[in-house]
Amino acid sequence: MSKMMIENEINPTVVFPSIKKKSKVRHFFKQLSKSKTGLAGFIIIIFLLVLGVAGSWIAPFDPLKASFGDKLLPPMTKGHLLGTDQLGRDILSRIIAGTKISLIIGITTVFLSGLIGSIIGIISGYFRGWIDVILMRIVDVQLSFPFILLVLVVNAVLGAGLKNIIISLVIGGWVMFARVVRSEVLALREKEFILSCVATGVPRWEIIVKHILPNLFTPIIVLSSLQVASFIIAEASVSFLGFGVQPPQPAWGNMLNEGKDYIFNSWWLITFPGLAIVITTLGVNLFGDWLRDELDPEMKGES
Amino acid sequence: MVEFIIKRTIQMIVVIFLALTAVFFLLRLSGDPATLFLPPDAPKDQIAQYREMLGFDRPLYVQYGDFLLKAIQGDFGESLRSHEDALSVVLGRVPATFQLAFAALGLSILIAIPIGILSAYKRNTFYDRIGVGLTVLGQAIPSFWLGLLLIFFFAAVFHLLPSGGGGTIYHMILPTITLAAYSVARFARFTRSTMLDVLKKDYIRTAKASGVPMMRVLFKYALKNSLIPIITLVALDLGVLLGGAVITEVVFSWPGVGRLLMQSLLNRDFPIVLAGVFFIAVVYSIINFIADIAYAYVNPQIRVK
Amino acid sequence: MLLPFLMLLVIFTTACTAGTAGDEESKSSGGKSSKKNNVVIGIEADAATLLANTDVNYITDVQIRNIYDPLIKRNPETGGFEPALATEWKNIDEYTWEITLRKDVKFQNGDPFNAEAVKFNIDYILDKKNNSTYLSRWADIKEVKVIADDKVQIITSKPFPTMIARIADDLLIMDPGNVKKLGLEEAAKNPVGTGPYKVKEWVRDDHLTLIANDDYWKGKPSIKEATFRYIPEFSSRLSAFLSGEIDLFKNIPVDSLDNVKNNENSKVESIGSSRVNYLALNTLHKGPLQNQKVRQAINYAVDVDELLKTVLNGNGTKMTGPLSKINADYVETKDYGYNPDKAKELLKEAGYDPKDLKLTLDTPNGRYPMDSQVAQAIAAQLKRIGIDVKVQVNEWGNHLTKIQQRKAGDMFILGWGPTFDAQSTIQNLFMKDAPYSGFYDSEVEKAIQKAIPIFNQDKRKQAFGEIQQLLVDQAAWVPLWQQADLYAVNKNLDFKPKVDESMQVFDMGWK
Repeated sequence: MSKMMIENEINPTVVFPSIKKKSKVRHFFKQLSKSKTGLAGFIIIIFLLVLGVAGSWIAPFDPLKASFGDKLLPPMTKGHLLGTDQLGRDILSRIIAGTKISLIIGITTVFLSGLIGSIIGIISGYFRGWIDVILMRIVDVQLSFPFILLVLVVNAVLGAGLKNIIISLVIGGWVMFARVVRSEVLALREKEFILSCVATGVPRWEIIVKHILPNLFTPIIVLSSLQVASFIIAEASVSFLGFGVQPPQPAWGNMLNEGKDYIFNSWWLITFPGLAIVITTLGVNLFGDWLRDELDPEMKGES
Repeated sequence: MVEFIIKRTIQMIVVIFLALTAVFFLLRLSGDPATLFLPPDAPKDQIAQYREMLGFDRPLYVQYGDFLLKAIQGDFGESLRSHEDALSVVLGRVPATFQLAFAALGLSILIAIPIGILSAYKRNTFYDRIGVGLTVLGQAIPSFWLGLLLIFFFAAVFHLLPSGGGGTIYHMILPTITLAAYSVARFARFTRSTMLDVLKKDYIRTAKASGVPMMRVLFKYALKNSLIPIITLVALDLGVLLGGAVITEVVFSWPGVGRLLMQSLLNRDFPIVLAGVFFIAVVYSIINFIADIAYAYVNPQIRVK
Repeated sequence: MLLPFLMLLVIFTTACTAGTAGDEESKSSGGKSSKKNNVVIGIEADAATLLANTDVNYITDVQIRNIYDPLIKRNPETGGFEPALATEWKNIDEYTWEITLRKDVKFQNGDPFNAEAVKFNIDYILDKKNNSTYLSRWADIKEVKVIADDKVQIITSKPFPTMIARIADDLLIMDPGNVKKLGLEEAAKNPVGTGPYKVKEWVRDDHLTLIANDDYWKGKPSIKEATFRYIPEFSSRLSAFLSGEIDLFKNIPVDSLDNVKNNENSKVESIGSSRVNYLALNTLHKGPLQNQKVRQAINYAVDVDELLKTVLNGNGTKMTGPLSKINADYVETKDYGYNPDKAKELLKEAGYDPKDLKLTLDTPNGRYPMDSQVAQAIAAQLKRIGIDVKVQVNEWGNHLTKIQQRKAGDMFILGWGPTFDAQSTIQNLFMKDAPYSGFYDSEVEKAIQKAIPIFNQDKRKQAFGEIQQLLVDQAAWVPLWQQADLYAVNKNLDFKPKVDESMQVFDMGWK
């Protein structure tokens, strides 16, 4: 999406209502239960979190154990609910193990790119001047390139592995945060309450931390909810193309990569990991949509 | 307005220059391709000789300077594999990618807009729920998985369509559907919400009240006014399509720029990767540029940036 | 209202021009093959160039061997040398080889095939300007002399005992006249050879179509037209094959063999390849494997028969030493066999408790049949005696770089080939400075250096035989197997796989 369009659409200047903490949580769940889709998304996410944390106890088999005598078994044979792959490993267990990886990637990349992007956005937007110009040029360079291609090229250079795919995604992803945060800061610093702080000599750091930051939470959360799904799909795509997380580490993307040669005889190798990705993305998107609608009434009904 | 255009053009040039620089250094850091192009039994001195011939033994800044000088003239060197002019090779694959992208764009517009209109018109009814449901699902399905499923059903199980390659219109069907899927979802949602906004407007109510038939209201007034934001989104999505084309081309072995780029990345065929990056950066920048102009035209407040 | 119609117009024109993505010809020749007259072969990638003697890759070679002839070729079953464009060859002395050429052969454009043409082609490789990737293999050639129209002498700067192998494996004859007339760039797209097929059309990254050369010196080809179609994804190749779009392709993954066998219109042809796969026990990496006893223990702990049976479904020929049985210099070496107790014993002798050992295994993915799967199976086998192995899967380019830069782990999987003689394998895989070597031992190094220049074939075989015994004793590898080349073939196509992996349309026919 063009940077301009995003900046002007994600522009909520709603300050978080200052209700007491306990009621905030209750308010949250009350609103959530009103939305069927939001609730569904939330439940899916909780389910995934549980799988990610407790996966190794729930999984029926060892996701890494190869058993060559049992390779390519169809679903519902010998206790393998979803079948086995070309090395005889249980697919269900591998999908569960892959949940952990997808969650780690999704959460870490959003967190890191959010952190880095926001810091840069704040510096750029508040201090302006030549540092703003340079930083924004860098952002422009990155945005001149399709996200997935950027992640691919960076990852091809860095080499495979979990650490590197996270780095590649963060390198691709921080720009969005930087742009959005910057435009928020630009708008905020002209506001009356900030101007009066400056006039009364409040130190800059205090202004930033005490007054600007709290108002950034909403747009950052909104953007994060939009980005998580893209990161998960980007990681799966890169792993599918042969980079990213490598086997034998189970990740949904590389399971699809390994499985694609077996389309003709063992359809279950690609069906279930793919479904896992779809359900995850769906959950994240549904919940994210609901969250956005809640936080920014202006945007209700928009795309 | 003119000032805006000039400013953005300069920005575009700077940006492309920086992108090339970044990729150049990234590639050089990833090691050298001599290993992959020489036979495995080549002795160390031939590998060194080959590296010398390619100029990889010179200091990095010299290589970079040389690269820039030639790149400005459109000379990205020769493919390390086929010794053809790199930029020509890339440009030769462009028509295939554009065909796919435009077909996918056309298909998604054809499907999405009616869905969006229907959804908006019959808001919160059964049709709307299905429409919205499909779009939400569409945005959750990774394109390569959809591609694999389509291959599975149409090629493996039913032997109806070829599973890969280029050449005939039959080869184009599955990749186009795959590429279009995500865009259909986005366009439909956007059309729906834009139409909803427009339908609330006064002049629509006036038209309805004065007895204009519903179809006419929908198409002549509502759609017409929703078109500009929709077109803007479409222009933007052309860029997303280019990105998605890489994956689709790989899954279906479609002979376009995306697949070329992937293969060259794997083969460490640097000149092709650089020429490809250059081309994509240019096209993407131009698309964003046009989209931003269109957007600025629609929202005059933005121009003052 | 105009807009929707514009959209439709766009789609319509796009759809109509879709046929030009690639080429219209493919609708006729690349589509369902009209069985009697043409054959469509599916292959992973495009040739790098159609010039001979330039790009050392198999993909290029297999296609252009239909356009050009070699001087000497290999027997399809034994790999032995047979006449092609050359009828006789001999040494005058250790530095001079004399080759007698076939008379009355013409290039496809009418130019005569003669000694000048041979000289031209060898000089082409030696000329640095041409950037031939064959150069390093021919570096010991000093000059080529034209003795008569049908006789050539090759003078070497050092004794070059494997000269004939080089000629058989590398050298194809291009028409000098064509190259001189068109220049290299054009000749790369419009080649002229003496072979059974001429180029009808080459659409890069899509297909190469050849038509029969009816004046071919061996006789008129029975198949009129042949197309190589480029399909990089295996599943696409399989799908194209099962639906009849292509008639032949090489390299069926072992788990998909049944798909081909069970199809009523197809069959599987196989042959033991000259390519070998092995697990290198890396002595160039600091670690327990620098100890000979540890390496021997690993040999006892890996059950190659089980790997072959369960991972490769029996497709491959087990090896016990560095050379395969079809290698000319092969001697039989002892098989360590599977003996986990002996393995534990040896490890104890070397001072290691298997449970404390943590080793790394580098492998590529998809380069050799089931390579990463074999790696994981080996790790599982070693775990049975308590050794912990971490399998590192590398993208191909990275894998090669790691080995070259001596950054690979304790063990790595690699393949080698095609290889028909000892020197090409041993010199490149067991010496200190060889780029892809994982082994160095001073005694072995000396032995190899002494064996390379030996000219007398019998003495040579003996010397390399001793080296093979040394290598097995030193446990430089866990030898795995000779690859089985598996071809998916249309039931009505008469195709016999060759040991040199070439696909010569001239030797194929429709029933």
